[in-house]
Amino acid sequence: MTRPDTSRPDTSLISRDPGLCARYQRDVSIVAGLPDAVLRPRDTLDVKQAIAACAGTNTAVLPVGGQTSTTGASVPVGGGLVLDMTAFELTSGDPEIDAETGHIRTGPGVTLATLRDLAARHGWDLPVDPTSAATCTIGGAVATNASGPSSFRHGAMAAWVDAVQLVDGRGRAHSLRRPQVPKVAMGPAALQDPVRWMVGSEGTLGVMTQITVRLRRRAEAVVGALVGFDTRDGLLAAVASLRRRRDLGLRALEWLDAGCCQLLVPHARGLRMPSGQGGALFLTVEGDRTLAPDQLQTLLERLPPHGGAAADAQLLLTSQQLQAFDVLRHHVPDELNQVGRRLANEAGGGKLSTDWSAPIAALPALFDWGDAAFADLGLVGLYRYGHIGDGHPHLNLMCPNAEVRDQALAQLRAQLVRVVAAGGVPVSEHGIGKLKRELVAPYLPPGARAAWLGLKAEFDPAGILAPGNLFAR
Amino acid sequence: MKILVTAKRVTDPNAKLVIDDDGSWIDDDVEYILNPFCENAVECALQLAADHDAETIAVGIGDEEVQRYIRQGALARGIDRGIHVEADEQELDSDLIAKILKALVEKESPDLVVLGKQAVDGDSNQVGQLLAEMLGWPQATFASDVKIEGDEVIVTREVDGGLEKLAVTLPAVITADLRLNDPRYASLAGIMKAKRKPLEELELDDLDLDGEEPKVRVVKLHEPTGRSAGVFVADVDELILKLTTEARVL
Repeated sequence: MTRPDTSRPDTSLISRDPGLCARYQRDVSIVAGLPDAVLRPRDTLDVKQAIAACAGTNTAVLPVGGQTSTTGASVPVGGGLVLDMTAFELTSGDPEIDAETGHIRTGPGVTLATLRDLAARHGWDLPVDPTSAATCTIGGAVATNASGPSSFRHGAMAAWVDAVQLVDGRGRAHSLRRPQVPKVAMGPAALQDPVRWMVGSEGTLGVMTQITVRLRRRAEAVVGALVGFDTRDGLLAAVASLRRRRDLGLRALEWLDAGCCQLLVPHARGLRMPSGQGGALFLTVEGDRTLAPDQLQTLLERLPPHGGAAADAQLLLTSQQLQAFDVLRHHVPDELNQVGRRLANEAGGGKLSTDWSAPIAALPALFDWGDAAFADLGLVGLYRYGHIGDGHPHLNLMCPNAEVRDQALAQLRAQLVRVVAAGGVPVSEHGIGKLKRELVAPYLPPGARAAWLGLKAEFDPAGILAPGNLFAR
Repeated sequence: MKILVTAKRVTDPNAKLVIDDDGSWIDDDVEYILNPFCENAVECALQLAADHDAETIAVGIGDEEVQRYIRQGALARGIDRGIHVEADEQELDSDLIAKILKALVEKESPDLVVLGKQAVDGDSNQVGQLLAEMLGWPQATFASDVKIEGDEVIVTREVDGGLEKLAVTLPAVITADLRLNDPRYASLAGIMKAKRKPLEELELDDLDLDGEEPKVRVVKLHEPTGRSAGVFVADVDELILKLTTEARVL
């Protein structure tokens, strides 16, 4: 065991300035909570000393990065000390890339976009691209097992983390590394990879101080297309058809329903937003520079039997066009969040959104059930968009007041029962944080909470790390 | 009416350029795109053609790969036909490109030539102006709005401190700025059609330009000098000392 180093003062950088503390009271969710103090650690020693001091006084410690959580995971509800890890990179040096083997070693406070750019400059790809990539940190992305459109092909963050260094709730430093061999038989599979314990643990087991991610060779080209559909059922059938040709380099398969397409019309700049009832599919293909457009074309040819307007599909053939579309589609959550905040302030309503995913075959029935269940609630809007290729749509219910909100929430809970019964999961990418803890609890596999409590007993017996996140103690 | 528009291929600004070992040019294994200002020019030509029933022709100059960008960037968007002039891009400068375009104007007799105001690789911003001078045609550069009224083109230009509105008599040369329009995206049907649209291949001697030499040559390329790492200072006094004695900016 490594004992906390107490050889230098540990409080000189801690600030209790009310103005500074107030800056950390919110993330992207509706959760709010004011910290008692803020520390911007310079290095691992600062983290160790701060945690050791907090363990002695039973003070809560919450590491935060870009505070882009949509579930309140990065909000210090109940006060305590916030560790702002965004300064950490400044004293730990720039991220280091091994351009030969395709690995980046970095501090936790570097934005995901910075690492993706660094990888790209050396011909590599870190294929995790959440909406918040420009502002979320790698520490936050690992802590929540972030994902994005490209996860359809390349998986979520967990697939790309090779090693982490962290300081646990006792102030001890650990260096955890994923087994580097394909065959491991050291007990139950879930216990064979310690890195997996930390990915998605939302700060409850330790404060990450260094992360090593592996990279994949960058595809020569990524091209995309936006295709309108007459009906939602046709679009879902097309998704099932496209999934059968993953061999053609299909990288992302995203959906914007008809309402979302309409939201984007004023911002579309040269792109014609489809107007069909089924909304639009956005797909990207990666591959060889000359072959990728042909692969895309082959995929598009599968769509007309399902009502996909393949001939009118608009092609995004350059990185500029893909970037422009990325910016464009982010208007959807931005606008919905804006309206949601207004509704919440006006009459206690707001936006309710889901993060479940289900098998593609189950989606038509789930959507039909939702249409009926939400029809008479008095919503001011219902929007669906998201990672349809993974069976992972985001449903957004715009509630004008608290009464409608409560009714909608009850229906969402009823829908979750059907999602899980169909083989789906209640939470797919935004983490659990504080907002979804109760929602998820009924669906946890047997022993999941006990297993986490076991890890908690080892890494944070006093329970000072990120209290309120993930599971109830 | 006939409109000639440029379709220049440029290196993708997002791509990492690698300089050849001898420093003479960039490694050719890099992603290219259609020059963004040429995309605005293409969109301008298409909108004018729709309003005035004009034929549209896209011109690209360079090696054989340029044809891909003429087809995908211009013909797939709706330009009627293309012309590819085969040339070594290392042996081209603004003057020679303007001469090539002049020869094509004399061959095709368009009423209007629309170019991107500059290419985002060399950023020279010269070809449109040189071409107008060589042709003896009026020019309106940095266009942010273009309308044809009778035998005149009414062009709004973005200039320092505001907008300037010009009326130039046809035939004329216009260069497009980014805010002129939002370029449309090619459709799959457009891509398919583009494969069948005529694309004429010419060489410099077809235009009586064989043996023409560029006036400007790239002598050497090199990477920008790397920035040295910053340092943290303990207090304002140390900062002032370093700014005075090391950076010498105070």
